[in-house]
Amino acid sequence: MSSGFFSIGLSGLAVAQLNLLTTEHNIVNANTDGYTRQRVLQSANVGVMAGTGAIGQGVTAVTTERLYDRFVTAQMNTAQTETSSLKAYYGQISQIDAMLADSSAGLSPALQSFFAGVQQVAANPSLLPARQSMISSAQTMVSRFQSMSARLDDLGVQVNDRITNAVSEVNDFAAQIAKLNGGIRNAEAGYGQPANDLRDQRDQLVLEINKRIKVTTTSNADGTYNLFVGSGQQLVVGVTVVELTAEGSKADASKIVIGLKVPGGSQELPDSLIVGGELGGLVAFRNEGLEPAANEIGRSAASLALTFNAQHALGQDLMGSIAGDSGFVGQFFTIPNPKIIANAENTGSGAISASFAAPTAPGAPNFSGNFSTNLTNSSYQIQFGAAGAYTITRLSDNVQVQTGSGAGSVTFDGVTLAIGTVGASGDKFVIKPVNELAKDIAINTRIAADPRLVAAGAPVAVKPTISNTGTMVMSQGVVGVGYTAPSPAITLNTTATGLTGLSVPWTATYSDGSSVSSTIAVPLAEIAKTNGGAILASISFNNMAFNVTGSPALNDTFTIQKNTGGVQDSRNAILFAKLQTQNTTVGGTATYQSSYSRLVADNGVRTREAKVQLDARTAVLAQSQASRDSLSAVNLDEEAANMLKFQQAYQASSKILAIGSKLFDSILQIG
Amino acid sequence: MRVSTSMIFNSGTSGIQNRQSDLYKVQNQMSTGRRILTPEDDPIGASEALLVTQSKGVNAQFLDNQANAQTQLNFLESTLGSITNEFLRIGELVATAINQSAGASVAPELKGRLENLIGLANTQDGTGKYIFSGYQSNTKPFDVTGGVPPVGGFSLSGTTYVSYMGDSGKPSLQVSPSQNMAVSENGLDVFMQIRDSAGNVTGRSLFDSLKNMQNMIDGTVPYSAATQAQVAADVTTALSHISGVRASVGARQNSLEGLTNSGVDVATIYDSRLSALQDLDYTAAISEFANYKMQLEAAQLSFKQSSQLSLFNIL
Repeated sequence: MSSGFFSIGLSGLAVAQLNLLTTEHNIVNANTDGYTRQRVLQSANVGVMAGTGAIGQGVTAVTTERLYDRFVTAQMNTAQTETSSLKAYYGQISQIDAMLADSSAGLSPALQSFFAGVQQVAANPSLLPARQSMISSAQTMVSRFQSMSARLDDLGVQVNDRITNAVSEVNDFAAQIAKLNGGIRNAEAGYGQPANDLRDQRDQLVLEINKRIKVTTTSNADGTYNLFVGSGQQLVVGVTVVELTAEGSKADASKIVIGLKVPGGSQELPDSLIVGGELGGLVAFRNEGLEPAANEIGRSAASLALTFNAQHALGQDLMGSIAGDSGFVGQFFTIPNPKIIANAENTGSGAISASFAAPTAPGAPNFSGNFSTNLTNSSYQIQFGAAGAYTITRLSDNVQVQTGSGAGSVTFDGVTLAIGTVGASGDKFVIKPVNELAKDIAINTRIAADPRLVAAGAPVAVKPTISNTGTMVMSQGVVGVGYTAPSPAITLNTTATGLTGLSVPWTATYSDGSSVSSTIAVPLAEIAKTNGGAILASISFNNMAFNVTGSPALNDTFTIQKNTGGVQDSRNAILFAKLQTQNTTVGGTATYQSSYSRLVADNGVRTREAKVQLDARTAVLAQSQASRDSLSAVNLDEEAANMLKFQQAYQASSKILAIGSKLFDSILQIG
Repeated sequence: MRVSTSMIFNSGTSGIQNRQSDLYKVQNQMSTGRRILTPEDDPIGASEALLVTQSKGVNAQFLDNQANAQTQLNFLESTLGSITNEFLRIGELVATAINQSAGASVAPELKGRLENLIGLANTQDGTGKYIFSGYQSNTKPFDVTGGVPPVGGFSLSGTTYVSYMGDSGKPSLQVSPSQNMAVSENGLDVFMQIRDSAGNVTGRSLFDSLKNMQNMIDGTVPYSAATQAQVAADVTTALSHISGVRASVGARQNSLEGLTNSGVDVATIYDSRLSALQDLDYTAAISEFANYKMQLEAAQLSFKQSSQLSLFNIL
C-alpha cells in the first residue's frame, strides 16, 4: 500500500518537474526567432483492477509537443516570400524613381539648358561667347546623360552583388537544413519522439530561404523535408543539397543569373522561374525597372545625337567650311555603335557588327519637317539556324523583327546589322543598341576645342543681281541630306517665259500646288514662270530648295552660290533649336522630352504599384505572423500562471511522499 | 483569440513605425512645399509636370528671343530713322536746287549728306557687326568705287558709284513656335534695289541717285530739265522705299509686342498649371499632420501601458 503512495507521488513529482522545465524553456525562449511554445502531454497511468475497483497508479508524461500548425506556417512562408520580393523590388526601383524625379539632376533641366544654348547661337551666330555657351551647356547635358547612366550601372552592379550574396546565403541555409534533416531523422528514430527544437530551427531556416527565394516544402515519413525552387527544381532532398549558382549569363556576362549546379558546371534557370524572395524581386526589377530605364535614357541620348548630328552635317561653320571640306566636322555628338555580345556557348565563328541607321530625313523636295529615329527601348537577339539562316527577335516583346540568310546587312528598328560571317546553327548574339549608350555619349572633341566649328549657318545663299528690275525674290534656300553645294555658282537667267541655267534635274512647284520636273530622261531647258494660271513658288535641285515670290523681269539674274562669309547666318542653328519641340524619336511620334517623361511616368507607375502591393503583402504577412504567433508564440503571463500551477503540483506530489512516509512511521511505531 | 507576448510588442512597434513613416512623408512635403516628392506619388502628374516645364522653358526661350529681336529691330529702326532724316534734308536741298542759282551753295552740304548716308549704311552694332551686310556681318557692306561715277541713263551696273559687298541674307530668329522673324535688313534691299510702288526695281541705287544729283548740281553732268525731274523723282521714290522698309520693321516690332504679351500670359498659365500639379495644399497637409501626430501619440501611449502589464510584476 505504501509503495503505491511513493510511486504515485514520484510520478507526480516527475511530471510536475517536466512541466516546470518545459515552462521555463518556454519563458527563456520567448524571444527566440521561430520558437514554438511546447507543452507536456500527460496522461494517467492505467489503474490496477481490484475488488474495490481500479486503483490509480499515478501519472506519466507521454511526450513534449509543439503547438504548431503546418498550414499556418506555410501561409506565413508564402506571405514572407512575396513581401521580401516586393521589398527588394521596391527598394531598387524607388531609387530610379528618386533619380528621375530630382528636378535639378534629372534630364529635363539639362535638355532645356542645352537648347537655350542652341538658341543663343541662333541669335548670335558670329559671337564666339554664344557658341562657347552652347558647347558648355552641351557638356552639361552630356555629363547628365553620363551620370544618370552611371547611376543605373551602379544599380546593376548592386543587383549582381545582391544576387550573388543571396544565392550564397540560400546555399548556406540549404546545407544547414540538410544537416538538420539528418539530425531530426536520427533523433526521432532513436527515441520515437519529435525533435521539437531541431524542427523549429529548420522551420526558421525555411523561412529565411523564403526571404531570398520562394521554395516549396514537402515532408517525408522519416521527418526530413524536401525543398524545391522554380518549377520543381530540387534544392534539398533529405540530406543532400543541390546548390544554386550565381554566374555571368552565357548570353551576356555582365548580368549575374541564377542557375543550378550540375556536374561540370551550372545550368542557367530562366528568369521566369526565379520568383519570390529577394532574388525574385531583384530579377524582376532588373527586367522591368532597370533595363527599360537604361534603354530609355540610352534611346534619348542616341536619338538626340543622331538627329542633331544629321542636322549639323547640313550646316556651315564659322570659317565657311561645309560637308566635304577638310576642316568641317559634321558630327556634333559622338556615340558608340550598338553593342554586340556573342553567347558564351557559340560554336561557330560568326562575326557581326552593328551601326545606327541614318535617321529619317525631312522630305524632299522642300525639306520641311524634321529628322527622326526609329530606335526602340529594347535589346535584340539574333539566332542562327542551319545554313546561315537567322532570325532577329526584339527582346522586350519577343517579336521577330527580321529573318534572313547569309552574310550581308540588315536593318531593323533604326539599327543596321552587318553580318560578316554567319554563325553556326544555334549560335546567338545579343544586340544592345542603346542600353549602355548614355554613358559614352560625348561632344566631338574638335568642336569642344573650337566652338567655331558649330555649323550654325546654311551652306547655300542666293544673290539677286543688283540691276534686276523684276519683283521676284528668291529665298536663301534650305538643303537636305545629300545636297550638292553650288560650286561653281549657278546663275539663273530670266527669259520671256521662265528661268534658264539649271542643267541638272530639278523640280518646280507652283502656287496651286502643281509641279513640273526636269529629269535626266526628259530634260527641260527652262523653268516656266507660270504653270497654267499658277505662278512659280519654289525650285529644288541637287537636294536644295528655294522659295520664290514675285515675278522676274526679262534678263534678271539670280546667283545660287556657297554662303561664303555668311557668319551672321543662323539658318541651321534655328533648325537645331526646332528639334527640341519636334517629334524626333519613337519613329517620329515623340519629342526628346516626351519620351523621357514617358519613362518617368512608367517607372513611377511601377514604383507606385510595387508600393501598393508591398503595403498589402506586408499587411498579409503581419496577419499570418499574428495567426502563427497566436497559436505558437509564448505568452509570458500564461507561462507565469503555468509556473504557479506546476509548482503547486510539485508541492502536492511532495506532500504525497511526506504523508506516505508518516503512514509508514505510524506502522513502525505500532510494532 | 490567444495573444502572445510577441504580438503585443510587434503590433505596438509596427503601429508606431507606420505612423512615423506617415508623419515623415507629410513633414517632408511641408518642408519642400511639393505635393509630389518622387514620381511614385503621382506618376502621371509628375510626367505632365515635366512636359509643362519644358513648354514653359520653351516659352521663356521665345520670350528671350523676342526681346533679342526687339533690341535688334529697335537698333535697325533707329538707324533707318536717321537715314530718313538725312533724306528729308536732302529733299529740301533738292527743292532748293531746282532754283539752279542756289545749286552751288547746296553742293557742299549735299556732298556731306551723301557721306553721312554711306556712313549710316555701314553702321555697326555694339558687337561690331555691320547691320546692313546680310549674313556677311564681318564685311563692310558699302564701298565708294573710286573714279567711276554713274553717268548717263543712270542705269545701275557693275560700275556703280557705291558698290555693295554684302549678300542678300536676312538673319532671323525664331520668335514663336511657327514663326521665324527677320531681325535685320540687308543693304541690297535697303539701299541698292530701290523698288517703286509696284515692287519693281527702279534700277538706281540710293547712292547713285544722290551722286547723280550732286554731279548735276556741281556741273559734272550737264544740267537738263529731264535730269532734274529724274533726280527729284528718284529722291521721292527712295524716301518712300525707305519708309516702306521702316513700315515693315515697325510691323515686325508690333507683332513682337503682341507675341510677348501673349507669351507672358501663357507663362502665367503654365505657372498655375505647374503649381496645381506640384504644389502642396498646405491646409490639407497640416490637418493630415495633426491627425498622424495624434495617432502616433496614441500608439505610443497605448504601447507604453500595455507593455507594462505583466503577471511577473505581481508574483
